[in-house]
Amino acid sequence: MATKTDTSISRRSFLKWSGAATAAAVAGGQAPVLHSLAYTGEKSTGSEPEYHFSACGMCLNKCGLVARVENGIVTKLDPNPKFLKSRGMLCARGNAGTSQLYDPDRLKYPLLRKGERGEGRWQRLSWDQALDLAAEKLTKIGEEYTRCGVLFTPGSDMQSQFVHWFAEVFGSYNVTTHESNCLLSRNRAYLDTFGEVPFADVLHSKYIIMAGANRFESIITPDSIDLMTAMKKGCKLVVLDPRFTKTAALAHEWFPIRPGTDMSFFLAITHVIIHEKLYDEKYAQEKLYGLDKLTEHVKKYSPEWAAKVCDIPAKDIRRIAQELAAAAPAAMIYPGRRTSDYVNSTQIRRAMAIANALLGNWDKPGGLLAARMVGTTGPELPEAPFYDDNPDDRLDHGSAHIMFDEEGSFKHTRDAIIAGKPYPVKGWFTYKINPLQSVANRRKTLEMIDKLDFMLTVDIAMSDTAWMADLVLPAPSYLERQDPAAGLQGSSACACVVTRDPVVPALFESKPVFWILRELAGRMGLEEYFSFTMEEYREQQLRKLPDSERALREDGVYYNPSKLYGIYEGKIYKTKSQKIELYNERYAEMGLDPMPVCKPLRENVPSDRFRMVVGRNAYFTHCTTQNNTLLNELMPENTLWIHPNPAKKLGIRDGGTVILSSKSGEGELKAELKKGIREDTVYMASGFGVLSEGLTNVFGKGACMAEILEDFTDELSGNMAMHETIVKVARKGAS
Amino acid sequence: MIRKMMVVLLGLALTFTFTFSGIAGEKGNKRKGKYTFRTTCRECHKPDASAKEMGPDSKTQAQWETVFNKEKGKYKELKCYKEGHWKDKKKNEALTEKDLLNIFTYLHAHAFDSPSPAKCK
Repeated sequence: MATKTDTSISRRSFLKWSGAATAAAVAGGQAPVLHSLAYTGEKSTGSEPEYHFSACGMCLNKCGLVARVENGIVTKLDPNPKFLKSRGMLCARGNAGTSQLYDPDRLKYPLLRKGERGEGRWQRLSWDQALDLAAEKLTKIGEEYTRCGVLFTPGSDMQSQFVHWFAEVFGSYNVTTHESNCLLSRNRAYLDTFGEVPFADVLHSKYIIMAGANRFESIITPDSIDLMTAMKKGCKLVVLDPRFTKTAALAHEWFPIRPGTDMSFFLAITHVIIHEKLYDEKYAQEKLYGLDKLTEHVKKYSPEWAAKVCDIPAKDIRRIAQELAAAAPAAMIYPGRRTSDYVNSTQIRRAMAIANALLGNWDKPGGLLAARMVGTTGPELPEAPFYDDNPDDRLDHGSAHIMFDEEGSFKHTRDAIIAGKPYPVKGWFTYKINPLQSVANRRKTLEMIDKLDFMLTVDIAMSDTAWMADLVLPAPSYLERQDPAAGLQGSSACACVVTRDPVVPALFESKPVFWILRELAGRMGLEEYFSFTMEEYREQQLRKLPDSERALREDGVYYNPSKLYGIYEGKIYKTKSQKIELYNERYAEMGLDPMPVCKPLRENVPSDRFRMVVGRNAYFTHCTTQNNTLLNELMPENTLWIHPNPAKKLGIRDGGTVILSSKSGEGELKAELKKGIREDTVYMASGFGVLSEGLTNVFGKGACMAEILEDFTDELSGNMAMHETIVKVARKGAS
Repeated sequence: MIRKMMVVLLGLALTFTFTFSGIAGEKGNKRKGKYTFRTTCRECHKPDASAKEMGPDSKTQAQWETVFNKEKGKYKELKCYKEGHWKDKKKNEALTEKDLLNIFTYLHAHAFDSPSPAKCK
């Protein structure tokens, strides 16, 4: 397949394909910009279409795709049939990638804030002006407050590694990413049980319990597709979720579990497996640490006890435990991803990990798999400098019991910036991430921003985070960039490598963050650390995979046929005991519960209130694609899921407007009466109720999740706890 | 004179012993330790270099404690230590006790069985 990259858009063809090129005001700004870039559907009379391999950038999965380009315009995105990780699939979001590329709301040139934050008054700058200003401001903060005085927050993007590298050579340890709002609790729990975070071999599993994960809507490849295939082959799916999600709808059994009580269910599962001796005793003897202590520990956690806690009948808990164990080792409690829900989320996930350990499913078909060899290599970069005047550690160091050094906690970092302790942070660099929408307690994030001297955002569109920045720099979409290689773990589907070259040239004045960082480095005396080109970087990444260049050129993906099962044969586990830790010695030494202890919820839901839960659907990636024209048609605004019974008591009708409030804030949105949600629980999708007038499809629509959620955190990992907020719901206009 | 020198040397040795014997229980600066490890050790211990690839997750915390424990003195038995490679290359001076404490803190914090295992990258 041709992978020509020298396509260009002539003004004439651009206008033809764009329909009407209209002058309009940039988001809250003053400069005229092109307003419409939509494909008209007019048949091309030009040359034959070209087809280019790429990797989707609409979410984190990086699914292989083939872009059709006609007259310099990307007209269609199709799945790459050779891309095994997604089983040759490209989802709705993937198909909507053209709408990101040709989004009239895209940022087009550097913008400097002129009015108050959030006022939306901007001045257009040249790139030289913008970069000179950014370099001057970052240097000044570094000199005045040490290099750790700048916080870096890159999103999940193939170029984010360069933001990490820039932070390191600039000298700041203060880097937070998406992860402390997402999966750190799961990672903590599995690292502290197995010594590694697993990949689920869904395809070969015979029995799966999915607690809180919504894999048919919140798509993870290959798991979402493999789950359907596995079920067709006879795999049983049991879903625990307070909401009747699409995953619940397709499951064999759905239990609307009382939110926050999953630990009780899994301790009871463990109780049954142990006391009915449903585990492999030889395996347990060889691989597990602390079974005696666990046996004693779970005696009290019978199904009858758990039923009163989690609202799932005891006979069902016992039966599910027996069925699960009978299917073992090709059975699992699905580890999930976003586990930022409760203050004890790590311990909840430990309870799941321990039950998995008793199934003996580690490193086995249909169970939990270790990371496979992909084979990409870290490029040899110059040694980053060390700044002797820097503080010893991160700003949020020690704010939770066992934090990840390179991730920290956004919540604790934010609190520390607001407090100015243990040291001041006065600069913030964000790249393709939107904490104003995604991080609980928006008011606190705004308070944090008020403490800053300088905030710089690099993004494709005017997100809420960009809207609050001092300097906004336009980035190209993933279809317009050259990116480094990315090694991907695809469970039993594959271990593979993808990369990207520009399918079309970058529109407007947008520049990749790699280029921006190189330019900044050059202005700040750090040029020696960014003296490589993307080609050189990629060459180094692939230097141990000699066949990869051909495979990427011909197939758009390289596969490493590395070992899949039995990776741990003859090896020790990366835990303190060097076994799978049912009992965690390190926790005991630290005064933490070495085995999960079921405790009362932090706050019970009063009869006139609700617990708010959040979750994904198949249309949106976190808080980033709601404004995409194609996807927005599927859900133009968010609604509040509420059960008809409490709604009736409150005088709320379907489609009526409600006021949702918490100790953090409030919002106004339409009610959607659903029998598929518990009476004590409400739910809303993320990404609406935006501040930014630069998001024209969603501005003024729905309510903001981050405004309502209170910012509790998981005590062990510092991960955000997004299901701890108790809310009040009232009909608009009710007294 | 000779006796005086011996006293001084003995004093220095005792100081070193006192400071360094406690290294496994002391807290250094792991970020400085990472920098010192990379600038001192990585040249030989990176992938495809002259010595075995080495990073924090090459050993368990207990193994790093043994390597950097004065009584067991494992680090002194290492060939590269004996050959004088453990030095600040910019200053061309041997690593100080503080440098070693920092390196130990870095390696220990990210050891194979630590809460945050990491390679040296």
